[in-house]
Amino acid sequence: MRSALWYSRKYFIRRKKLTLTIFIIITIIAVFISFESAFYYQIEYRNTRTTQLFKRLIKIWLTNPVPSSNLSVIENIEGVDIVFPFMMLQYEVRNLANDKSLSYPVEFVNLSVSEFLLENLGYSEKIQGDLVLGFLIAIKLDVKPGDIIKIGGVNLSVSKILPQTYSDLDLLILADIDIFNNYFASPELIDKYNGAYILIKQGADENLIADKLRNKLSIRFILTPSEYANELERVNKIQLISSLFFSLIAIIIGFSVITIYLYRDFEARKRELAILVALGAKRKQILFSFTLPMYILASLGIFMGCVVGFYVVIPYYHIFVYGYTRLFVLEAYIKAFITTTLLLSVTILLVTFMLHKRIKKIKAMEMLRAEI
Amino acid sequence: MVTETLLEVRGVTKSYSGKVVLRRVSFSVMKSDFIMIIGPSGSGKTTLLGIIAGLEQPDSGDIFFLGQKLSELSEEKLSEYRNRHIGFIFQNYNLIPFLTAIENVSVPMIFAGINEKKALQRARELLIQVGLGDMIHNFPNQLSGGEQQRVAIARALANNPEIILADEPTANLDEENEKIIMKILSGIAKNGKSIIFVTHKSELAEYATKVFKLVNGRLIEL
Repeated sequence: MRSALWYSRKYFIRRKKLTLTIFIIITIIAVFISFESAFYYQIEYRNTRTTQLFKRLIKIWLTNPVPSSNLSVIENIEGVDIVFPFMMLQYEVRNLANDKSLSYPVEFVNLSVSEFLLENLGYSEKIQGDLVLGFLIAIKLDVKPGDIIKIGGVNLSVSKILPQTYSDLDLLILADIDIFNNYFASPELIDKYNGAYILIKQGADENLIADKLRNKLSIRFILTPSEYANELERVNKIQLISSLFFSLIAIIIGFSVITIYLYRDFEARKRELAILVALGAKRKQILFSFTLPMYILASLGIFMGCVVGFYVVIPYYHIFVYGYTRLFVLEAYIKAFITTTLLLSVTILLVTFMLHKRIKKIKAMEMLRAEI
Repeated sequence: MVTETLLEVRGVTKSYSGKVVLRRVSFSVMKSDFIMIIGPSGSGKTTLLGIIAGLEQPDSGDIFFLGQKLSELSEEKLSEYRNRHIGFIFQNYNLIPFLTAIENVSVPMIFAGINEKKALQRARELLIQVGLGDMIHNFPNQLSGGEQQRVAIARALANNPEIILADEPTANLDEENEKIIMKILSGIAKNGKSIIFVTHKSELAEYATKVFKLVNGRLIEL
């Protein structure tokens, strides 16, 4: 091992172009794989959190707005714990400080619903004020508590930005229902609702409750915990296939380029390897001498690729696509790093294995014999 | 005085695609022997060296080094045998192009597990011995043919082997450099090393203590 280290160090120092090329190729592949897999693991994590958020939650959207009295039937359904009716409408939401805006659904609701939603994810927060923004919405609009944002034609002060939960809760804009009734509602919509958050009791039969809701109300759309979980699982599968597909393309291209490079290097160094055999170097030492630079380059390339993927490509991708930057959850980075390392290690071991077979076939005397 | 047999070649036969290149070749090598094997191109000289070095297997016959049959050694033990007991000198020098002279000489020692500092120290001494003390940091492409061959000789001596195998080492050199190399090799033999030198040049026979000719695969002592 020491001899291989000595030999490959010399090779490294004096074959800078080849060394740099292999390093860059491995780094680029690692950037691709780490980027793709970090996205996948981030979505997987977000979906797990969202499933957790919806563990005891049914959300319904009604065909038409109805008075609150019509919704009292929900509370009488067996297994229902608490009901938070909401009025959801799409508005243009603008941060007056920086003019950032988006067209987004605002949910007017009793804001204590956000305390219950946070509780589902293990947070304990007291919510006060009239306007609460999910973490990602706050990033998109670049607002902080106390800033004034304009919703529709009404200026409102941001009371609270919810903690980053990595769930769909990060994407909500919640305003107090009284604000709607006082400032937004046309006379015919005052004290009316077009949907509800329904917290169900522990162990309650969600399907039974959903059936009863459909019977009693004119429902446009309903999301139960298991429907939500199924939907997220489907999204996960699509994301996994897409990640695997792009990673596979990166690996195939990278594998081909590395193999071609190494084989060219191998062909150029065949004589050198034959000399080492004649000088009494063991096959294992030769293989290590030949592949150690590759392993070192691969390790550095994987590390560098992940750093670039996580801290440069992902943030810039977000800026480019969504107009804001953010970091993923640590768990997604760790899993993406492991995936990148595993996929590239297998690829490089495969190349090493192929080279090992070729090194074994070297006939030293045939290559070194006198040419007379 | 009884001299121990270092190496014994016993009845070695080797053929390639039906053509016999070595026919029951036998000879022994003692300490300080300078054995010269003369033969034309394709007569099997290099094959014989390859078999002695354990790089090729004979079809029949055996090589014994200090009484040990080479065919009984594992691949790893054969590598050790080449590394510790055999030194190789080739016609084309076969230095490693990205290593300096001193590093080239160090290679067999490094692969024998000797630490870098000691290896470089010995390599420096050997290069001084072959008259290249001021060129130790030159790369092969910065050396002339004769100088490269002297580096190769120093490399062959690195692990202080008992036997040096030389495959047409002067074939690429001019007369002056040939003389230098032959003198160095004679000196090495006088200092107790054994040399098996294969060449097509019969005029070099004067340097040898034993001369053989390889004719139609048969080894004839002259």
